[in-house]
Amino acid sequence: MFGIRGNSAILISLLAAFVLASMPLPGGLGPFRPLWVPMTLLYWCLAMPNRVGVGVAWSCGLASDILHGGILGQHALSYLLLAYISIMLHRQIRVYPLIQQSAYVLLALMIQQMVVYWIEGILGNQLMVASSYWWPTLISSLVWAPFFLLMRAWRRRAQLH
Amino acid sequence: MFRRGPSVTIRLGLLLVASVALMTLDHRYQRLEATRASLQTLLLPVTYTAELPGRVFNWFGQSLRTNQRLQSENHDLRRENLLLNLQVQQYNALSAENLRLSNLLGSAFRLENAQRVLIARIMGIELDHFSHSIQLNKGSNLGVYPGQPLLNAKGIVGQVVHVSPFASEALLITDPSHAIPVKNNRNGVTALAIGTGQSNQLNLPFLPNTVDLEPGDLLVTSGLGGVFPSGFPVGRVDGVTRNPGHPFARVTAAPTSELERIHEVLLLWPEKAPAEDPPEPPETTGDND
Repeated sequence: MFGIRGNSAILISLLAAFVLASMPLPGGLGPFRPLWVPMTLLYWCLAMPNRVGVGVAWSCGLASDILHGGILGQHALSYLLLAYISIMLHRQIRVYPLIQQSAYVLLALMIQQMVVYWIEGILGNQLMVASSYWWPTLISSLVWAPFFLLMRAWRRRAQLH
Repeated sequence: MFRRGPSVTIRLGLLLVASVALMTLDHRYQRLEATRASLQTLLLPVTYTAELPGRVFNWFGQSLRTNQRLQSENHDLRRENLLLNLQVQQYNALSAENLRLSNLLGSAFRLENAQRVLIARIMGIELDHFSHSIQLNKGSNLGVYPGQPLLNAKGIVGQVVHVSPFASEALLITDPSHAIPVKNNRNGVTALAIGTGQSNQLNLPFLPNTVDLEPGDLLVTSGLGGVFPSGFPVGRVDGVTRNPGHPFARVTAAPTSELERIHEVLLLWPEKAPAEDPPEPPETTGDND
């Protein structure tokens, strides 16, 4: 309709994810926001590993570091590992039913969040971590199915195969 | 597709090294301010787009107000202004008296006045467990500098950490890596208030069990450390647990500036008084109370 094809469709989806991730949310909803950027990366790494790879994931991580504050390279490293695992496993995960995929998403995002957590620990930041740290991961996994369908429709419209 | 297998792993290795190098450079040597500033400027469109819905919503809310409501709001504001003016009159007299008395005592204490303030809009708030930071829409083109104190009507909010030409990033006082020197307004006991990663709590560590702090005490900036001007409210003590089995009391405070619902902050340029600074250290003896 708008003639968005190929790589620009990927770029637009990533930009949208960044906007969603840094949009201020009303009330106390902030801590429950899904991990939009890692989810979008995950989708593209599973669907188009030859277009979106570790390099793109790393650059997105760097952008996250800038947008959300914190030490440079922290999110870059965690997204890098997320992308690597997903690219290595994409042939299996692609054929999983959506429920099983959601379980994989939970696992992969937990690894990603864990890496961020570890780096914070190495930097020696005092943390008062409640179980609420894992809410975004859990919620991302719960919304994975509709998110996946939406992204697939977007990919097909952009004629990416 | 198959021949890409090994190259992905090689790229992974390279980027891993690059990430670790970046983190080391950033954390140990703070060498990346220029890089950060330029990347932040590059990403400004994303930040502006992200805050757009909130602004549109606010604008609608404002333009749909009824005339009656505006009038009553105006009335309230006028009354508040009158009251504030009244207090300022007293303040001027008090500050003059304070100055005279501290001159008589030969004390180095001065109420520091703000030389210049600037209102900045908050473009993004990051409140997770690791970082409590905000993005501001004012940058180095207006003279914003790293370490600059940030306030709102209720007290200290935080300090600027990274500056790019048109935006800047600030740490809130509740960030786990942030500490602010405070003193008890009632008796001058000094302490450090350290962020906890929870937006309604500050920790005051390393205070002896006999420390004279009670719930309800107001903590104000002590001016030690030179980042924050002295005398601005920071928090109110809300819990003191003294356990004789532990070397230190467990003291917590709640920030006065309601960090969860701030929209605008004041950037402050404190009056520079370099000659006044050296005599300050003796004041720290208040810590041993």
